[in-house]
Amino acid sequence: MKNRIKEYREKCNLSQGKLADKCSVSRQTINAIENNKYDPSLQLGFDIAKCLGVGMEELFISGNGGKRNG
Amino acid sequence: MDKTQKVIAVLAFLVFLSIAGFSLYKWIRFGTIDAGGIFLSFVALSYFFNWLKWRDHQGGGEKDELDRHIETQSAKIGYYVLMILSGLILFISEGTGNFNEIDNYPLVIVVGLTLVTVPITEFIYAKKFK
Repeated sequence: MKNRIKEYREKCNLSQGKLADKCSVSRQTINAIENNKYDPSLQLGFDIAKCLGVGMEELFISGNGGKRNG
Repeated sequence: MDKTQKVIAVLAFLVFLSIAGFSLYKWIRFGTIDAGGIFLSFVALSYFFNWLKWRDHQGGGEKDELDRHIETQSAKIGYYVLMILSGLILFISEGTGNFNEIDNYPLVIVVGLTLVTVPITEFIYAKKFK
């Protein structure tokens, strides 16, 4: 699943390490998610979205490449 | 990895090399196979890799979501690797690919068990969700 974590993280001036600390995971975990090597659990997805102040639907892009109908 | 952690990793690997090397030397020089030495060398190798990945000689410690994912996937892959290795050890040690010529029945049972362990475990574990 693609995501826009890096984009929103940079908007918030957060490093991978700081975001990782806020979400109680390692920096490697955030890096793997950002690079689409690992899909986070629903809980971690919510935690990341909450830390970045956005909704899950803004942060994660589903299989159709994030294109929305209408 | 800080300096102390690197030193521990190097020491663990040296211990493995020493035990494995000594066992190999005894085998080549005197023709004796030291089961204790073989086992201890595997213990040392396990210590080394656990330390490299988890900074813990038993592979424990605090783990986050990705670590648990790595653990789960590695367990699955490791099971199939073990299945193949046990089959290889059986056929190489017996020097034949024909089951009717094999005398090491305990090892045949171990190889057979690797085939049924996962289906049986899945069957029993699936009952938890019924």
